[in-house]
Amino acid sequence: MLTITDLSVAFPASCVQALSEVSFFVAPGETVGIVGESGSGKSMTALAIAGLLPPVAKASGEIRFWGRRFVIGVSSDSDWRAIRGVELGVVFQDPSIGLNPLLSVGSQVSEVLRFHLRKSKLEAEKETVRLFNLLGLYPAKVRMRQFPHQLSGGMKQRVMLAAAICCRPRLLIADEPTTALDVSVQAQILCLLKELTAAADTALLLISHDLGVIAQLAERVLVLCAGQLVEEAAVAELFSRPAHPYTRFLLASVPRLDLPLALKVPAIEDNDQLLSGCGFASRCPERVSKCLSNPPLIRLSHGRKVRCHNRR
Amino acid sequence: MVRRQGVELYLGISLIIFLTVFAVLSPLFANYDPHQTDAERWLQSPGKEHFFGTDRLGRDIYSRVVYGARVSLAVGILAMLLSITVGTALGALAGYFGGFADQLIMRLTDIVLVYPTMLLALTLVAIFEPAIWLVVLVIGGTGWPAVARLVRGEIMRLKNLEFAAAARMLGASHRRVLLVHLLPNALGQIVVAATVAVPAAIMTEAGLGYFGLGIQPPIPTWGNMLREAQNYIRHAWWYATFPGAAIFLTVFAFHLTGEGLRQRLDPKSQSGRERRAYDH
Repeated sequence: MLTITDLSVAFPASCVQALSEVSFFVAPGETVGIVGESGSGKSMTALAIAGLLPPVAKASGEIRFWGRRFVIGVSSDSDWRAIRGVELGVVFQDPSIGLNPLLSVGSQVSEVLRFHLRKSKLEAEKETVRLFNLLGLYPAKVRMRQFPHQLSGGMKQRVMLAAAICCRPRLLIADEPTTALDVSVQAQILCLLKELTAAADTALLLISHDLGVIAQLAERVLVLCAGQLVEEAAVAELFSRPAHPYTRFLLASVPRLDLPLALKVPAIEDNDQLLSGCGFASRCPERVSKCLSNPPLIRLSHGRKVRCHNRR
Repeated sequence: MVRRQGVELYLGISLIIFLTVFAVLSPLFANYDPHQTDAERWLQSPGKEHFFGTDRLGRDIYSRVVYGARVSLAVGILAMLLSITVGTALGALAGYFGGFADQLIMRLTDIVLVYPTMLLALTLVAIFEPAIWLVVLVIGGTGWPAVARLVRGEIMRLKNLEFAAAARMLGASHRRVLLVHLLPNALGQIVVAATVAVPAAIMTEAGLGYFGLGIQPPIPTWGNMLREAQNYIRHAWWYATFPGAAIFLTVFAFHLTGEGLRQRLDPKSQSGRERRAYDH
């Protein structure tokens, strides 16, 4: 359904390669997780799919989405707008700044319905009430008339979710949807995401640095490191048998109550940004000399790929 | 103490209406011809006949203040509209699109900012006759860069908030994001700028008049009345006081209105729209 081919994003002004030749796909109704540390290119991937990369970025690649073909840097904004909000929904990290403070939250959802589905004002409001009830924003009719500052973070995130799914998109991208929320609310939102996408057969691309979140929701996981796709695996396999040293580091650095931290991912040092080679090479304890040449993404088994010379 | 909601706004608007009524219907309120000189009754202090006294030529100051409202308010409001319209449009474009458009517009504002208002006025007066439209053009045409900078900064701040990105993600066009999501959020600032611009324009008109570039006497404006009064300020307190009070009242009225509007436009403000929905 969604196929991304050789997606590269660079910021020439600051000499940053945000993504290099990332390719992956998402099947209809599937939940795919993207993990990686800060700056690994997770959010850039989301922006690229929506065609909203910052204008200073130099990007290339091709995106096929439900029979449409977008070439980054060639397709125009109006091409992308045909899918944004209708076939593609996005939920952002911080709900506190994701809603227009001057408009009631109900109107911010019903506006999307009116704009995309050409619903009448009354129909759109009815639909919004239904969505608010579905998402647990009670009492829906009162909540609709409230303004963002009158809602809590979790409620705002529910409103954002309502706006993103109101047109029944085929793909929902959730970019760190629970990072800004506290743990109990986080669980509620994750449950909602799961229920909603399952009920409407919406594919979910879940971006998170939280492996716990990924383990709960995702069926398949992509691991990004320094803009490279270093590993791809079914969620159970990734957690039981990580193939890339970076993935092992990520898994080992999840804090646990019963054990001291086993391994720590070394911090990225500014001065040894490698221009070629594996993105993790400068920090990898298992590095060998050929790591400085770009290792290919090797298919290990069905649906399992790794980019490492030293794979086990 | 609980403050009555929106008192400023109602008081401000009432004052503006009051002043406007005086300006529009000045012949009804003035009891003398504002141009009528009276050689025997110059510099008379306020009394029954002349409410605000008379000036150096024996003209009735009250009538002149009433007639002066016409020119002063017209100049103030028209110049404000001009500078706010141009400044908001250019500032919003520069702030939203950035890059080349931003550079172009900001260099243009720099050029206008460094060009002295007086020099521009002199040039234009040399070409055309001094007239109200010219004064409006000079004041509005030199006032917009300040507004443009303000709006640009505000839009740049707002466009980096996620709701602009979220609106784009939901399929909104640039135009829609700018007009529906960003500009209304900058409106509070723009309204305040507008209410400051009106009295500023009235004062600039007075300043231009000082060099003979403003509205020409004998047409009374509050600005040129103040200028005339400055030589008599020690002998005739009423001469400068009443036009000054008129300017003060106008500034006050627009300030109150601006403050009230700003509060009303901000849903977070306590005296905003009446809201019975409960907060949790």
